[in-house]
Amino acid sequence: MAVNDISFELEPGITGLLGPNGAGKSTLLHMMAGLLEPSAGQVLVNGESSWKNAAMYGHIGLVPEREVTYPFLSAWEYALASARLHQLPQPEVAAQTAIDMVELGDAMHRKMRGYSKGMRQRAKIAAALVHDPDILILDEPFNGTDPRQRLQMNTMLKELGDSGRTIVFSSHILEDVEDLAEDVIVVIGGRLGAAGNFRQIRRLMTSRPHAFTIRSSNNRALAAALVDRPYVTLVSFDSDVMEVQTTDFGAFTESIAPLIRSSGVALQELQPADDSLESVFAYLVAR
Amino acid sequence: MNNVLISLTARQLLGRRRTLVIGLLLALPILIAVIYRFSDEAGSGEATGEFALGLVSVMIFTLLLPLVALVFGTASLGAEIEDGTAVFLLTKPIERWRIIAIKIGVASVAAALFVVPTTMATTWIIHESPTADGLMLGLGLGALVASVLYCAAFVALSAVTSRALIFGLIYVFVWETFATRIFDSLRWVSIREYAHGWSDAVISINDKGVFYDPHLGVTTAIVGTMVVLATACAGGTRALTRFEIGE
Repeated sequence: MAVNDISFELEPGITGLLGPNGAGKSTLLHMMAGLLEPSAGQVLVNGESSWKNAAMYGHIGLVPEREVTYPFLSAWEYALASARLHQLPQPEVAAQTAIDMVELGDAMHRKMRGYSKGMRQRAKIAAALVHDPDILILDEPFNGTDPRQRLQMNTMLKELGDSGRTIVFSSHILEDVEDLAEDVIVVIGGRLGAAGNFRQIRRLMTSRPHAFTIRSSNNRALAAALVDRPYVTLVSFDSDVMEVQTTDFGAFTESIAPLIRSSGVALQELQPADDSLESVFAYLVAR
Repeated sequence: MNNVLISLTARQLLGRRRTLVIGLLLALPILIAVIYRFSDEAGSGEATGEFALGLVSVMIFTLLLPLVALVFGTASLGAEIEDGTAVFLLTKPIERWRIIAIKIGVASVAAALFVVPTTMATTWIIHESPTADGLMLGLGLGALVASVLYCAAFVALSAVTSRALIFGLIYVFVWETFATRIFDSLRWVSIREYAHGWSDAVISINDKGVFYDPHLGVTTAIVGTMVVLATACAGGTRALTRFEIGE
């Protein structure tokens, strides 16, 4: 996915890169990791271009979404290989520390071909952490993890973030980002949707207009009752379906049932028209 | 660092199924040599030398050796790029020339370990005294040079394109097998001809038969060898430096 006109700066701490699938999150992370060349503009890591800069990998750790583990290696061998390729003075100690951080000690001598996706994910993180990088880049790190692993990874990333490292991770799940990141960058369709404090962006998301489609025994009578409400901004008809737009999701959902009863109509169908994450992001981009 | 790269590449290359298939393929010329040895056709001196040269030239140098090198050369780096594990290596502070050099080295050693003994054993079985006229040593040397050069070319090719296997097959079976026979001047750009040039410097048989037909002298072969190695290392390093991850 091509990305356009995106500028931001990452500070120490945890930043979430949020966007639907195919929004360009991986493209951005790969550019940061020096695995894609920007056709315009530049990506700087610690003040140096990330493109064609192998020395940079001494300071960053990358956990790609794609499988990068050797099935014939154990997690221990994998972390140790990473430590040796980084030419660390005590590779065994570094590998053991990284394995302990991801809590993979019990299975560390088993071949990775027998691991679950979550275990391989943790092995990848151990290999990326082995040289204690200043910057950690994780592409969809929660994919394939169970709730316990997710909690454990959250705790680990929070500790790393609190210790002054710069951590950036991508996710298409709002709750993942909400749990972990203070700052968030929203990407949609290869463009920057929003960037800044997560709570502010979350407020924008919840205060956006919501649309519902309604089918009832008497749409016109129901529409007449709805247009009086201050939180209803638009009512439109399309054959036997009515679309209602509201600025207050809570007030609308609380009042719609009593309103239908008092109007004396029979409800046949009521469903949100734009509750997908994509539509939330599209709203942010349009603002 | 080098040891880790060598070990990872070797373990990746020498999978059980791959080595078994290659081992079985390379048993074929040995089997033919054994059948020839115990047949009425088996003679002595130049006649057997001619047969050895023909069998090794057609079956090993033209068919099996390039195939084995193609398998190891493209698997050494191309398979890692394909399955994503190359990212593990490329996100380490390692000079790209070192990765290319080690990939070429390991693939070459793996190919040579299979092909050179097969070549020498085939010659030894056919010929009564293969060392007398430099036959076994010359063909073994040619197989070694060809293993290294083909692997270098195919490793570099797999750094440049994801279709290295197809381009490799086209080079071996269209360029080297047909094009060089139609246009003599193309032999100057043929790894097989460079290998024959090295072999021919050692072999002292007068009648070499119709199948073994070297055209380049040893000096040209040495220069060609250096050019292939330098081009493969430089081209592979450049491609790896500019490596971009796929979607």
